[in-house]
Amino acid sequence: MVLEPSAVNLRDPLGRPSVIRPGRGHAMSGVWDRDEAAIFVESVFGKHQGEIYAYLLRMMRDPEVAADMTQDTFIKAYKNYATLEKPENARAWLYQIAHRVALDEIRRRKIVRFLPWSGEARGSAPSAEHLVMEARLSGDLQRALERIPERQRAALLLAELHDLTGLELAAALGVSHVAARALLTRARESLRQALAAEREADALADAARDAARDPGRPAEVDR
Amino acid sequence: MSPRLRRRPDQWADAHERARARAGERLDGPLGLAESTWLDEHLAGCPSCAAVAAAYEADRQALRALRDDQPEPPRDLWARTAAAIEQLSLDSGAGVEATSNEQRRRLLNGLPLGAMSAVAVVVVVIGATILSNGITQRSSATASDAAGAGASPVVSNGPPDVASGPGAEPTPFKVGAGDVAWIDSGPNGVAFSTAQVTEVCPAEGASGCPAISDQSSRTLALSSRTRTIIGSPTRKQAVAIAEDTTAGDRLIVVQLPRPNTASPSPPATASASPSVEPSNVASEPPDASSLPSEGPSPSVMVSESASPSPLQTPEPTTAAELAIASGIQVVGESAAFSSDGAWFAFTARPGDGSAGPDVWVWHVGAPKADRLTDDGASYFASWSGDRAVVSRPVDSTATSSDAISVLIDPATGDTQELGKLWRPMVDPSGRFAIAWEGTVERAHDTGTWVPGRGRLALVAWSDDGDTAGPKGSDDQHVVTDKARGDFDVRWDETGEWVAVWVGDEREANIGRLTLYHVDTGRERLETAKDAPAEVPALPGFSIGSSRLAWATPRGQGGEGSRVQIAAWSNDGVGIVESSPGEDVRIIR
Repeated sequence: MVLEPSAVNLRDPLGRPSVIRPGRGHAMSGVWDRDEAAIFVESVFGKHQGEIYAYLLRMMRDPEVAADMTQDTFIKAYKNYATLEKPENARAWLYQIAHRVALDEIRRRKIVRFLPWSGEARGSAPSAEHLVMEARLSGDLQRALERIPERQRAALLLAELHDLTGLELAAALGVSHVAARALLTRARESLRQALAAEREADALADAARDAARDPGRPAEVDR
Repeated sequence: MSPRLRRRPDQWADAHERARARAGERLDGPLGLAESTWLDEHLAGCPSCAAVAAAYEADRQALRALRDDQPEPPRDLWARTAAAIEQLSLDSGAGVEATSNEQRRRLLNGLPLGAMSAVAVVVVVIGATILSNGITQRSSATASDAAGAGASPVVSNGPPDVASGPGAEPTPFKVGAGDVAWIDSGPNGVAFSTAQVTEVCPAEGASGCPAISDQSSRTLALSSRTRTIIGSPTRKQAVAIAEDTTAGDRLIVVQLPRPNTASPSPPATASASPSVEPSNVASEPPDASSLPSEGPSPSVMVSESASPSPLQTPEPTTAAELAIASGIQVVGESAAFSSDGAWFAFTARPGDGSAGPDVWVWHVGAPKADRLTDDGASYFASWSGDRAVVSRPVDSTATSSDAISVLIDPATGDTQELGKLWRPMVDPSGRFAIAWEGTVERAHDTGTWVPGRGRLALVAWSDDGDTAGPKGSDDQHVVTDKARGDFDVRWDETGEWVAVWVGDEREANIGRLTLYHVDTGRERLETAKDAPAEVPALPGFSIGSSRLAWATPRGQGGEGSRVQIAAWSNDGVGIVESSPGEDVRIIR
């Protein structure tokens, strides 16, 4: 017997097809045990909140937004507990939810930007935290990361900073293993080009500054 | 050849591209022996590829160095999360009201239909603070309580005092709502107006509140009477559904004037109508001819005789009208642009009524709209991302049938089945929809379909067709069980506010409009104090940017229709209205 997802009130976190299908054990019982789900979420929160928050912060670059989205991630984990097939997949599954939360927010912002009457939902003045964050992350690298498409950025962050490998990475990104690897390869190339562009811009700015500082001296090129 | 990636060598443009891709891949896992050897040989003889490979490795090290900056999540994160989860868990317990958050409970109330006007609730605060910045702040000239020219109105610090007696002075409060645009068709043409909504009044005191102040008013080059006008997300253009006298409807693309915010002349007041002569246009709505200009103008209207001409210098748009469809009858009120503005979809049948309704789409920029379906029984419901949600009866030969919805990609025609819902109106975040759950019936005299037995309700939405009912009891998410006329549902950009218009069964041009707040955590509809609830409204309203705008039907005494705007902020929901117009249509 196959239980329809709706029979146990399962919903994909963001309403898209999930690569992690309804868990057999939970779904077959037809019961969504709320207590069990709450205990589970509490335990994974303790273990993974730091890295999930870090991932979302690196994606969104706004501590307040990242905190809201982390909360959202764990609430969705609670609601969709029954879709977790094996407890040992919990980490990749949490990243999958967080990744979708992030993409959804990014997509939403893109949509909102089209509306003429929209303002930024959050205060436009950067918070102190935000400024610290800016200073902490290497400027060029961070700007380059921002320039590459968000899925590629996510793949790089998850692979290099969050140690997701192989199937975990694929699950978190919601794509096949082969596609995840291809995405990562494209991401490396995009980052290389974006960094080269950033550095070139920096070099030009430096040259202009040097010239301005020492107007008596002709440009280096002339010598 | 690597066994991992089953690419054939001829898929690479050249050896260098292959080498670079392989160099990247090698960082994520070993290549096959042959490919690895090939790569090493290539890199040894190709300095530029070797440089790329070195850059990949250096970038990886730079990325990994970011690990040292492990940010600390806020300390209260678990407390917040746990509270939200507890709330969810309590909510889902057999529809029992949650009790853990007394204050929230006091503020908000999931209301059964019909009881909404009797219960006092205070507005919820939404996260978005949207300011119409860059626009000159006008001093609000209040007519009734002239508290001194130029004086700022009192801004209430808390929610509007609901206990104040009927004689209390209205206290306008500021809102940061977006502009509202509308057109007003008179014999001399179509006036296009926009208004900035900076302050509103609690509903009790609305009659003493200043009227809407127009930002600008221009004429719009529209030759036919416009029944409906839908603005694109960019607000640069709009699709007008105009009634040709003989040949049915025409869909015309018009360029909208930019609101002239930098106008040196004082902004016009709410008299947007270019003329008040009795209209002799045949297709005017009832009572169209009985509106003299000097008709009872409300005492609240801002009278700025200093600016005698309410119109800016008329600037008809120079762009020619582009008719994207003609000779059709547009069915229903669901026509809409996709959220990215790339597509426009609507439901229409042949002008002579020879066939049933189908869904049409216009790819913005194309010369014509095209029919997307051809079964003669399809309705456009809403957009879900860039795909159209289309509904149809399961058995279009029957007089009563279950409904089914599908998602259609307008670019490719790819179709995906969704489930048994009629006209689900999907929110912009894709989490919820408001849809008719039940049967549809064939309307007697036409080939159209109307809701039969069932209910219009909030459902949890999923693009893969899993549309479970939300938590809680029915009265927390059912809008109505009677929608024999048309209905129209529009969400604001946050997906937290939704307005539902339910048409009158007999009089197609009048319906009742209700604004709901959606508690996304508890998955239910709420109404806020002073928010419009079942107010009479013409079809066609605009929601977004912390405000809802609609037009009232003409009054019994021949009073023209007015633009009404409900706007919400931390101070509550308030209302402001325009002075009467001739034939007002909100630009959706």
